[in-house]
Amino acid sequence: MKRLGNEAGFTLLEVMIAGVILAIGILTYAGLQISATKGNATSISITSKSNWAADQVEKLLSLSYNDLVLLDEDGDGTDQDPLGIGIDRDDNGDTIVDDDENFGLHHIGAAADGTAFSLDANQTYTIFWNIAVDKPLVDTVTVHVIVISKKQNAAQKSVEFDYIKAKII
Amino acid sequence: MKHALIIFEDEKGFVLVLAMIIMLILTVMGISITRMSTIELQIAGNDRRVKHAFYKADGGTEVAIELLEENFSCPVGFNKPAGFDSDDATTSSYLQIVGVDLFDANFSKDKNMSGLAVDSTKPAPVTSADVPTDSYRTLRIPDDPSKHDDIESHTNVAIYGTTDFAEGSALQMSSAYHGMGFSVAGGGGIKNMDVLAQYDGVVNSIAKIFLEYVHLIGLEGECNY
Repeated sequence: MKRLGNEAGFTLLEVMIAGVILAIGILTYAGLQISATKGNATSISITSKSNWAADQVEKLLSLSYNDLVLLDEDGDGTDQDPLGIGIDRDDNGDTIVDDDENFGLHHIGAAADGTAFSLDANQTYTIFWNIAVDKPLVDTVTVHVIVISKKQNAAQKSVEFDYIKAKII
Repeated sequence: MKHALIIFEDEKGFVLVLAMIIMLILTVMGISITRMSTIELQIAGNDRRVKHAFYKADGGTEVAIELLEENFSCPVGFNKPAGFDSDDATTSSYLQIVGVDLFDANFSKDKNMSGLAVDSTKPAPVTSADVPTDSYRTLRIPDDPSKHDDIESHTNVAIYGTTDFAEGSALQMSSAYHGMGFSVAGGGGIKNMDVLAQYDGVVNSIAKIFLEYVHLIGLEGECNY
């Protein structure tokens, strides 16, 4: 009876050790599972955002040059110096070389030249676009499309595409 | 009792072994889902870069066409900055037109770019797999206009062309001013251009666009550069 009792205790200890090891393993696996799920969600988000951005670029490039120019609503983009007076980056007609951040191409929120939402029920993604006229050449417009998720930090997780359209005679 | 003891001894370590086997399975599953997730992220990132590169290259063709039109409109060539010596490859291997860098053997000899691009014969067959490259291109459009460096992401464009009679319209010229048609200057001549644009972006993302552009001689605008 004494030996049997000893052996029962040993087995219990063994089961406990095994249980602890198994628990650690399962917890680690759970952590991996969570990070993999997050990674997959990020992939879905990136893919969706690039598709919405491509969709918006296609919509904008189907417009004529003059319609695109009109879309530069805040008039913050021209890269030309026809009079040799310095580049008037905010297009306000003065001769001072003023540094509007890259012709307002990276504006998001209210400052953007245009805003749209993805067409899913929750409007998960917000699409902004900015127009810079006469950049990089006269009679060309640069179009910059930015797509962000509603939930995510806009600056880090945005998908941004550029397109240039020329005014061809 | 002795028999039972032996069974106990046989089963010693069995739970631990079972736990180890389960953990091995979990490890394999864990590695595979991590790999899967990583690959999914790479696919999404590649897809994004491919689309980005495609629109960049497509935009590059638009810039190239606009620059061609500008050049056709400037019969004496673009204005060169004071002291610009294009024969000196060490100091000025390219001329900068706002956000675009012009590289061109003929152009760099202060000729009109159309002098180079529009030749009587198209150069050796253009295989779209070969050009443009960083060493063989007509112009470069850097992503960041302040960084004129091939290390930075940029779009290369190569332009080839020839001047032809327009089909049908050029009868007047070819038949000594008889019959219907236009003179070369009045729309009977065309400049037939091949435009190849390639965007070289981050993580070796590359997109290439090839198009043919026809310019009708006589429809030039005003010279801006």
